[in-house]
Amino acid sequence: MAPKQAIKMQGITKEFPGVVANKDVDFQVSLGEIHGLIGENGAGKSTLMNILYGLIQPDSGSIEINGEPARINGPQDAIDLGIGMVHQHFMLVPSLTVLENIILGKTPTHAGLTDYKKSRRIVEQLLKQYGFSIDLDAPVHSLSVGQMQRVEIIKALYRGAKILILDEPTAVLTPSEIEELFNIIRGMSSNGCSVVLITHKLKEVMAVSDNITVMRRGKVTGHVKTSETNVTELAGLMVGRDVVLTVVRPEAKPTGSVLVLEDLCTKNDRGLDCLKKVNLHVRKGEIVGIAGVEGNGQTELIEVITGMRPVQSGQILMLDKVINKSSILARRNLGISHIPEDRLLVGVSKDCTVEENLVVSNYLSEELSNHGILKKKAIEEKSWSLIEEFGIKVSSSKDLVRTLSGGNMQKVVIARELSANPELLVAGQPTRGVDVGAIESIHKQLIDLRDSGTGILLVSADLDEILALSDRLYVMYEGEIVAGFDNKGIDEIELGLFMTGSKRNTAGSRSNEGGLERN
Amino acid sequence: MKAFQENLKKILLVAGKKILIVFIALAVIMLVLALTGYKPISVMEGMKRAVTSDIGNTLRWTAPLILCGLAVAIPMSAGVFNMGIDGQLMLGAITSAAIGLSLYGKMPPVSVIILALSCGAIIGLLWALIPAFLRATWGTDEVVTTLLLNYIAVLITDYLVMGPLMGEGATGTTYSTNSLSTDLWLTRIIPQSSANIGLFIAIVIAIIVNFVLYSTTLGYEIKVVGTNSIFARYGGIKSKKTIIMTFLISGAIAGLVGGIEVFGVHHRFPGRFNTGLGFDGVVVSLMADNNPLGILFTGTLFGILRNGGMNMERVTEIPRAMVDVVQALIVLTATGRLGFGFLKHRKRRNSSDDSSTKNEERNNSLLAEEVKP
Repeated sequence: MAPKQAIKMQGITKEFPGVVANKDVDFQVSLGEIHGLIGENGAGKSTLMNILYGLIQPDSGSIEINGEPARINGPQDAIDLGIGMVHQHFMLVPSLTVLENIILGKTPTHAGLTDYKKSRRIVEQLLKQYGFSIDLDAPVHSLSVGQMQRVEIIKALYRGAKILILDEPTAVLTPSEIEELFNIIRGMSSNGCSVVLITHKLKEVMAVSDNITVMRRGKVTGHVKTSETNVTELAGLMVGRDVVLTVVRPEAKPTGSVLVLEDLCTKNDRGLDCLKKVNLHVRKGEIVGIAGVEGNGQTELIEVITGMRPVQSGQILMLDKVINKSSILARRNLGISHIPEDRLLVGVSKDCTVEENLVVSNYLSEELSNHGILKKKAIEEKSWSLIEEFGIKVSSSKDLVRTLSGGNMQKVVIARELSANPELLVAGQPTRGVDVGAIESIHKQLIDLRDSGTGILLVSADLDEILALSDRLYVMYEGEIVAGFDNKGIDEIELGLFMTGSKRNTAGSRSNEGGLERN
Repeated sequence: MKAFQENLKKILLVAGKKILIVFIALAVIMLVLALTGYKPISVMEGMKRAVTSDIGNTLRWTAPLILCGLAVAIPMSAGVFNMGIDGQLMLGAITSAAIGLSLYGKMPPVSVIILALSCGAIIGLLWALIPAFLRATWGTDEVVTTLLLNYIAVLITDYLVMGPLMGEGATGTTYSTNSLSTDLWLTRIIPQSSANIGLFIAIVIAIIVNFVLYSTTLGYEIKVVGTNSIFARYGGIKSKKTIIMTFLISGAIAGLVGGIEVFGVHHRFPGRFNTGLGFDGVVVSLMADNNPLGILFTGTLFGILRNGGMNMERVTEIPRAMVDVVQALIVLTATGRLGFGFLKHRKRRNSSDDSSTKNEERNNSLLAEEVKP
């Protein structure tokens, strides 16, 4: 007897006005299988999975779940069939606690009231079974992205998911969190759950999956057993061209210092110390990476430098001027540009046009306005020159940013921040969730910017990115700088030990290590 | 040319939807009338009169409705709500009346009018400053404060009009100030009606507001703050300052409405003369999607409805309460539309992955055409 198929989708075709998102797609996943679904952004992976989850109806094709033909008219049908989905952009209520988010919509009640005791018991049982650890009483807005994702997974499991779809789950995770996630996935698989992993990170899919389906431009281009393939073959199937995954980074020639942090402390949203006497410096013409497991103070570090969060104590020196109390505008005028970690929430206004998003940092300049009146023509011209220079795909500069893809939104942010010719660029997760081609060009832009004399502070959860781009790097752990390195022949294992707090350089003075003197 | 055609199509589509809403409301009220034993057609007769023989009184209402719509639209574009138009309007009205009465004869009438209307606007602005300040400093919910300040404002005008400013012949129930001299009346534009040049003031202000919202840095800041205040902060925009500015402009317009009502229509300050212009302004603005030029149309539409309702009362035996039902139904239908918009928005958000995919697909096909190395 053939192994029972958990999911069997056949001949799925879905057309959107002007594009075929899925064309005659076949997709099968066995019970207990971990299945990688890979392809570049826009290859049709999300569409296919949204069809499976009932968010979109296919134009043609059939779906069978556990051998039974299924009609999935909406997410509720999918949930009833035991399908759970964790989206790339989380669907959580920030002001509610973890527990409340998990039980939302399927709440155990007692006499019409929420039975928190029972809920807690059920959820804790679930946590134990799958080996999760999370504070059930923490409000969701105080969690790191990795933790939010865990909440989403628990939410799906709580609803009885036997087939779990994870959309780009690792895009936001650190190496150790990824490993943790993989353990969870493996655990689920051995419990009989099937997992579909949508991603464009080949290494990860190689590490964890049993089978892989590759999509390109709406079609399936390959269906392979993980054990019988390799990264090069997959990359070929995925993009149809050879992708250079390494970055050409000429030697940095740093000069005077741009940014110096002295014993900087601040508190997070929950009022806890999250930066503890941070000392670091960035010089003109170098990229300084901040490595660390997400949630160890990197977000707050970015916010405090760019003025989004107040300083508790210590000093921020920008070009030898103390800017502790400067407004965000004043800091921008001093030459700080900022690529925020969360581009949807902070980096763009989705209901504004591309133009309006491109000029937010300089609409007051003489070039774009005169005594409070906007020079609309100049704004449009400037926007078009940025759109062309940075290859933003739009049909008009007056398109709403909402209509752009994630990668294109990020290009809008990068175009705006880089075109300001900053003295200092604070870049948070600059390539999060964008496709391989775009990553390449963003990396190149960062290096070009560095070579033109800008100091760059790069915070990224992607260790490969930090290692590929940084001239020097610091490791953050629990709000402290625990190590500093020159990016030459770094022992990745040692780096990992620093990142996980297994090892730390004792004296604070060591945090300025890196062999390079401060100018 | 093609772009123009598409724009026109879009505008017509939107306008069509709004008109449909009004007709739905009218249909429902006709149903109610039929059920209660009145002639349903009387509604239409009222409306007909409002756009033909009694067009003047329709335009009389159009002016304050447009201005109130604008006063609502500006803060709403920045994501805050001024529910205190009525209070600002009343204080502006009594200020204008007091100045008109006391300065008459001491300077040319035109100067008196201008001074009186300006002072009314300034008082409206100052009254709006209170909730704006509370909101900016302590984050106090502006909806609550503006609503509550309405009561205080009305009671202040009650005190003034029953005390220091009480006119001759005023009684406990119909109290008002003295009448303004006819020199001070705003010029009438249609005979046999109260329509006055306030309408032109309203149109000019709508055009100015349109310019401010779409062509100035302030308007840009308002839009950015209104669509994503975190993004605004990130870009260096001072949201608090922007929000206060919108409130001040809004309050000033509301105060001006009060002055125009006094100088153009009532020619004195009758106690509690205002019948919910501020709240109608909310609907006028919502129906126009906060677009100042759209408000010119929705303001007119509401003028027709208001005056049509009054005409209905005049020519038939349908009681006054039915007029209120008509307006309430419009409000419900208009907000019902908002409800649909909200649901649609939610649906779109749920399938946002889908739409972004769609776009990426499109972008990918664009990419392919470029033949990248």
